[in-house]
Formats: sequence, C-alpha cells, structure tokens
Amino acid sequence: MGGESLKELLEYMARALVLHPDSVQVDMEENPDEVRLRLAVDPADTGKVIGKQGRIAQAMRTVMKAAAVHDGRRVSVDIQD
Amino acid sequence: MREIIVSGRTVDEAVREGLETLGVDRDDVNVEVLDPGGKGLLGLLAGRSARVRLVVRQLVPADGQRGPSPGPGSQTPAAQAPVDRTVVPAPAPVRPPVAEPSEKDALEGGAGAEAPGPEREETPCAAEGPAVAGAERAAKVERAREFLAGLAQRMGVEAQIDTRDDGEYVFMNLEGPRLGLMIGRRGQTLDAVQYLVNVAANLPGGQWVRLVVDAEGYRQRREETLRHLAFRLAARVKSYGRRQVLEPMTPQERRIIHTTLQDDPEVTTYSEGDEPARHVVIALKDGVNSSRKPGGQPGGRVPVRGYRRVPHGGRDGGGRRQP
Repeated sequence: MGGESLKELLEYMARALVLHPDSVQVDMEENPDEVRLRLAVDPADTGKVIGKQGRIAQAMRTVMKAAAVHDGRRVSVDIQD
Repeated sequence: MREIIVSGRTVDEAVREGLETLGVDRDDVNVEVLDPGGKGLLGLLAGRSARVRLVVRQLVPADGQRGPSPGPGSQTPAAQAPVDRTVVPAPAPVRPPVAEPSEKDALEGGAGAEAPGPEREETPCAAEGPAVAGAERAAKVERAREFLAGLAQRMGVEAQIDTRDDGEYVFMNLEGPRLGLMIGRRGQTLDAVQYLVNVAANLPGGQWVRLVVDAEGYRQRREETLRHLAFRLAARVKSYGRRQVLEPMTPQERRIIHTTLQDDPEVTTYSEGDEPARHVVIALKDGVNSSRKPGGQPGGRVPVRGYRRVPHGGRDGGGRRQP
C-alpha cells in the first residue's frame, strides 16, 4: 500500500468523524523508511479526531499501522492544532 | 436481566468498573453495596475491596433473544411481559422538542465509562420512544455499515458485511480473505476499527447505538477461549485455594470472565490495576475452603507438579480437612 492510499485512508476516516468533512486535509511526507501524515481539521473538530485521552487518534493510528504492513514503511499520524 | 458483581478499592471505583463492564450509564442500573470495603485485615492486603452489585434496569424493551443469554425460562411464552413493542414500527409520534444532545455527549456516553450526565431522565424511556429511536437506529446502522465497508476497502481488504441487530447490540461481521490484517495482534486492530465505527455511526447524536465489529467470528472464538480459560482457572482456584491473576484484557474481555463465573458459588472475580494493565483476578469466595482433599474424589484435580502445597501427613494426618 503506497503513501497515496495511506493518505486517502486517513482522509476517509477523519471525514467520517467530523462535522466539517470538507475542511479535512492531510499532508504527506514520504521517504524510504517512513510515511508521515499530518491531519488538519476545522478547529471545531479537533476534539473529534483526538477523542478523550487521545483515544480516537490512537484508534486511527492503529488502523494506519495495520494498513501500512504491506507497504513496509513506518507510518506516523500527527494532528495539527 | 443483566447484573454483575464487581469489586474495587472503593465503592465508587467498583461502580465505575461495573458500568464500564456493562457498557451502561449510571442511571441505567440499581446499585447494591455488598461490602463497603475497609482496612486490610491480615496486614497482607492494602485494604478489603468494596463490592457492589449492579442490576441493569429494563429500560429498553427486552425482545427476548439477546445473543447467548441462557435465560432459563425463556421458552415459556406465558408469564412473560408483553414485549412486542419492537416488532411493529408504530407510527412515528411527533418528535419531542428535545434539544439534540451535543455530539460531545454522545461521544462520551459511548465510552460507557464516565458520563455523570447532568440530564437525569425521570422517565427513562417514555412510551413514545421506540419508533423514533428505531428510525434513528436504522440510520446509524446504515452509516456504520457504509463506513466500515469503505474502511475495509481502503485498507485493501475485500470483505462482505453481515449485520444483525439484537436490540441491544448491532453486530457486524466481516467475511472474506486476508482479514487477519483487520484483526491484528490480539484483536487490537479490530478493536480500533470497532471504536471508530461506533464514533462515526453515532456522530449525529441522539441515543447511542452500540456496534460490535467482528471478523470471521474472531470475537466469538475469543469469547469461547476466554470462557474456557475462566473455567479452568476457577477450578484451579478451587483446588488450591490460591487466587489466579489473569493477564491484562480489554473491558469487554474482562466482562466475559466476570459473567462466565458470576454464578459460581465458590469463586469470585474482580478487576484490579489501571488501564491498560487492568486485569481480572479469580479468588475463592469468603468462607469457602479449597477442595483439595488428599483422598481425592473422582474428578478431583491432580495437583500440578511442583506446585507449593502443604505436605501430606501434616496436622490432620492426611485425612479430610474438615471433620
């Protein structure tokens, strides 16, 4: 699974969790070892993608990690606030 | 009727644990304090645990079949309260002008853990509830299914989703090849997916719908494994009289252990430790002796070799411990 599809997966999850799906944006930095994704949402939705004690963010990271298994690279998800 | 007995350092903690295990709010249960807890007795324990019994009030119309509940008298149609409310969708009554609960509330309610909720409903499920709730529920189930399908696809997994609603939980089972990816180690990925599905489905607010996401019956198999483990360890506790500490588990998994052994007259279960290391302990109930009898009765356990035990021919000459 390449970087593009990882990016799309994150966008997909985030859009389903927020009130302003159109404001969801994911930036990606790729290198041979790692895919770094930065998620930006409407300020009002920040809590929705983080969750209590970061639970939602953690769940998204877990899913991303599973999806990246075949890619072989590490994947990281940061949330911009 | 669902009920559970839980222990904790304090009554509050026990109640909180119980609510978490049952996945309900404080307002949904009757609490009976069995033991308020106290100081340590033998100087061994930090303090006696508080024990409470939580009984879930019947808010939602119980429509008979709730998964694997072994309900003893469930076959006899007589004597049962009329519970047909869910069958025919009654004409939708005018929607009560209740302000939509904010999504924040919904989010928190779903975690089932802490939601002291300022809005304490006096009439838990007014007669007009079911139809509105039914339509809302169906919409959320569809939302969940759609989200899950898209998620699986984007994770590179081909899967078919079967959905079943037992009135309490909505079960969505994925079937297909390569689902191991969606399960992950110890179901970790599946738990994450399930959590996201719950949050996404309940985004619109309103009554929180609880969804269980499974893949190739993984959760069911895991549940069976846990039940066997519970029985095996309970037998060990009975024969040796020593408590057994299980490995850390999720609240759902701990709940399986608790409910499996809740009717056992000889052992009790409680959780201790903090997430994510929270784990179940199985111990003898107060006043119950271990069944270790040197003579051994048919079916009696053979002690595990190397296990520390009182030598034979000790104080009671190898006879039964009790006169």
